[in-house]
Amino acid sequence: MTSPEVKKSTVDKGKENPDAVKPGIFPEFRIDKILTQSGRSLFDKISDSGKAVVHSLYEGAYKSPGINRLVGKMEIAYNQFRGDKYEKKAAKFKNKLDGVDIKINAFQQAKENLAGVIKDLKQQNIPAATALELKIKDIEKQINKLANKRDRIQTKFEEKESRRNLRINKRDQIANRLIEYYENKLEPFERKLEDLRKEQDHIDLLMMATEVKHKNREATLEKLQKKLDFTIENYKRLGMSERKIRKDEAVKAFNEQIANARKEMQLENKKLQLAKDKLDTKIAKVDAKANPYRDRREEFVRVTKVRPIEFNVPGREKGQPHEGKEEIKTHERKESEVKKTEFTPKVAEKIETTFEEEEEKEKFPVAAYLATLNDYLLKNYDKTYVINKKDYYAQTQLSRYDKMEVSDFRRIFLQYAKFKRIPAQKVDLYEKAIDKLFEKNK
Amino acid sequence: MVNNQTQDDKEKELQGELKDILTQAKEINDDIKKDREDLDEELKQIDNRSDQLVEEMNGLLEDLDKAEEKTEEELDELILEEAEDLAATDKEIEEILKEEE
Repeated sequence: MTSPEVKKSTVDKGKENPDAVKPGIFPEFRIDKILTQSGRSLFDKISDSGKAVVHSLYEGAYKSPGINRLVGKMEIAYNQFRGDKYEKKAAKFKNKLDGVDIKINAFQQAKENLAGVIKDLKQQNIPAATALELKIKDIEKQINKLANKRDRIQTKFEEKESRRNLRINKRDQIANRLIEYYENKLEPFERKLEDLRKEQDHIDLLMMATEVKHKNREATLEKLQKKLDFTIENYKRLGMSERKIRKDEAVKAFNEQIANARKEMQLENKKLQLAKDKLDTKIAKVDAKANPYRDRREEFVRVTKVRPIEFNVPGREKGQPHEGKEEIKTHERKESEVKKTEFTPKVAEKIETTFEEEEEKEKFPVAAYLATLNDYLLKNYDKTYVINKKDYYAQTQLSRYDKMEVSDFRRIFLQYAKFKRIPAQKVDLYEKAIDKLFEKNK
Repeated sequence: MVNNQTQDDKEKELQGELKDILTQAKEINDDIKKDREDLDEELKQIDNRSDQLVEEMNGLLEDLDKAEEKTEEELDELILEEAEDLAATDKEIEEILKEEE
């Protein structure tokens, strides 16, 4: 038999994605590209006919486009052997046993016929019976030989079948171990990813709170500017020249302070945006990295649901040495769905941005909003609904004195609820409470 | 003389107002600076925490890589053994049949 290694002349054109073997790109299959290092050294040791079987198995599996190497091998272990290969082998084996059985039956028939003849001859007292009895002994010998041969064939096949069943158990063990490993590693991975998303929500919260702070600061700066303009006008009325006013140290210092304040606020916004972009990139990268593992886990679960077929070969009367072996395993599979944290988009969708349009809205300090809300929650629900003010100030970086309009408080509060992963039902209740309590100030 | 004094008083009053405005501007500026410093610290902590999380997550994926490598080797071994058995079965049975014929 020609070794499959002879076919190793193809140029590897699929380097951009070694896992995905596309049809046509690999017109000639290369076993050395598919096997692991230890697999390659084992491959060198097996027989030519074994190599041919390996070759045909792998070649068939890797003709499918985009197949991952590991999943492909698991599919071979679960699917390839259970199909044609064993059925053909079982059929061949059965033919051979049938051939031996036919021979045994023929001898049995001949033996019975001879026994009949001997009986007749004996009744007639014809001496030839002894020679025929010897012939029957010969036939019995032949039958015994054939029965032995049959048993040896059966034993050989059963031995192979037992080994196969042992391998099936080992294969299940390998697959289940890896699936369990995926569970054990991907579950904390998803939890950590959720923690990263929380950090993302925290930055969004800080951005909202900072925006409100800046709005307040800007309003104060504008008021001061107006005061300064008013004072300058008064200076002018006193006869002070524009040039002299501009050169005044206090005016110069004021302008510097205003410019610095605005610069600081710009810097703050820039830093927040940079931090957000950086975190978004980190999340996108690590999430994308996990996708192939998530996919493989799913594929493994799917592949391992396939159970082996029965040989359906005739057993001997003595009983089967491998009986019940395979049924030791339960093949339980966990749910294949990867848990993904879903945020309630409702929160984000409901955020309103009307504050820019309505300039003359009444503003209240954060502390007042929280105190009113908490009083209401305590009266109407219980203390588990009360907002932890200390945590609220720490996470938003707002002070108790920071003033804002109802719409801004509502928006920041809902982002805080999102960041804190407060259940949607509770958030709904908070929203209704805010609307009810501060409706007139909206 | 009286007019000059009035003028001086008014200028002093305006200077006082100017100083007051300047003080308020300085206060706002200090508040903003303080806010920015606090924010810097918070963002730094978020960055550190997220770096730590990403490192741990990469560690988990590396563990999976290793487990997959080991599994692939074991699968190769199983498949090769199975193939060898398959190939050998026919041959061995043929030999049994040929014996003593």
